[in-house]
Amino acid sequence: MEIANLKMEIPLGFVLAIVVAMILHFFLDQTVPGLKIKMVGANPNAAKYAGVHVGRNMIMAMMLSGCLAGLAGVTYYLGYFASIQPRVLADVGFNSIAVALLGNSHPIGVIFSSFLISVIDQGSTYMSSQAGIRQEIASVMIGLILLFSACSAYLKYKVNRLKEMEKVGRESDV
Amino acid sequence: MEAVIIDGMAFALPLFIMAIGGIYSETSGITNLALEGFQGVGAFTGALAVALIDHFTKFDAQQLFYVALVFAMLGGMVFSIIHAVLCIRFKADQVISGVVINILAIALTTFFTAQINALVFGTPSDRFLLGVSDRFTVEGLAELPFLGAFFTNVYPFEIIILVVALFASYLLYKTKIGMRLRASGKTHMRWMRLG
Repeated sequence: MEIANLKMEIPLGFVLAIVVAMILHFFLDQTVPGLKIKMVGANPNAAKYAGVHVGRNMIMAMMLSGCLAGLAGVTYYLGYFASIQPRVLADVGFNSIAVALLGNSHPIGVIFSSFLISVIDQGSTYMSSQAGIRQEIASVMIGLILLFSACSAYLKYKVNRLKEMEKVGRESDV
Repeated sequence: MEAVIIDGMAFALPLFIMAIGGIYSETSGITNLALEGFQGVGAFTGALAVALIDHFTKFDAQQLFYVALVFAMLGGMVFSIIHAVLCIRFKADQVISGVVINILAIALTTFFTAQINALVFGTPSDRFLLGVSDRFTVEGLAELPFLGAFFTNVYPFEIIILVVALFASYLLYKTKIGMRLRASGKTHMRWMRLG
């Protein structure tokens, strides 16, 4: 297909991934089972007190994630490689944990963060041929981005502390 | 049958000593999934030290083996500071921190191997060439029918690992430092209240 004078082939997996992300966003935010899963994740004790089955919802979340990971695997192997060797597995599994973290655990955010990681990863070949930079620096860059995004809880804590201190300061002024 | 025991010991003992390191970490309350990253970076620093010394001097491969051990321990120690800082000071989720450190270790070691090979040695290769360590055989005990296999073709590092493991278990259970470590992990709140 042709958009704005650029010819592209869009694989079906790409469209499917975006559609699934939107469906998951709707499912987690607007439906009752999604809300139960989020409740169990936020505070298991409160969820049990409210009457939600903790074990059943955890297993449901795990099954969902397994289902989506299987979808990813099949588009990877049937789409790009058109063959599969049972012993050699792609290494993207561990990157996906970090991509979820970078996307702040939100389905729409994960679309953009996975774009970022893939662009860096795939662009490393062009970078090495055009600018002479070594190709492995792409994984170092991705690793460092993920390392600092793992500190997000600390930043939230610091921001909350600053807000509280500002509130206390304003109250003491009044 | 003997080959199973000989090769099995040679491969199982490094796993064993890594697990001992994991025990120390779990005892103090930090979930440590980054052990594979520590192993990679430790191996990288040991190999780097041996490759550099081999390039600039002419030592025997057997003597360099112990240098590699020391440098590998130092390298792993320094790299684990990243995990500690992330988990304790920045309060990151420990599982996520471990996985990220694993990814970072693979990336850093491949990048530095290629870079150092190009800059210092001038070869466009992606690995360091090292020698292989000698094995020794205890003459008298190797004649035993079944247990003799434990004493044939032993690598020196297996003995070192056993000594280190015994020392580590003594440190954890019989000294004051170990007791403080255990107390700070299991009964974290009680320890903080007691000061």
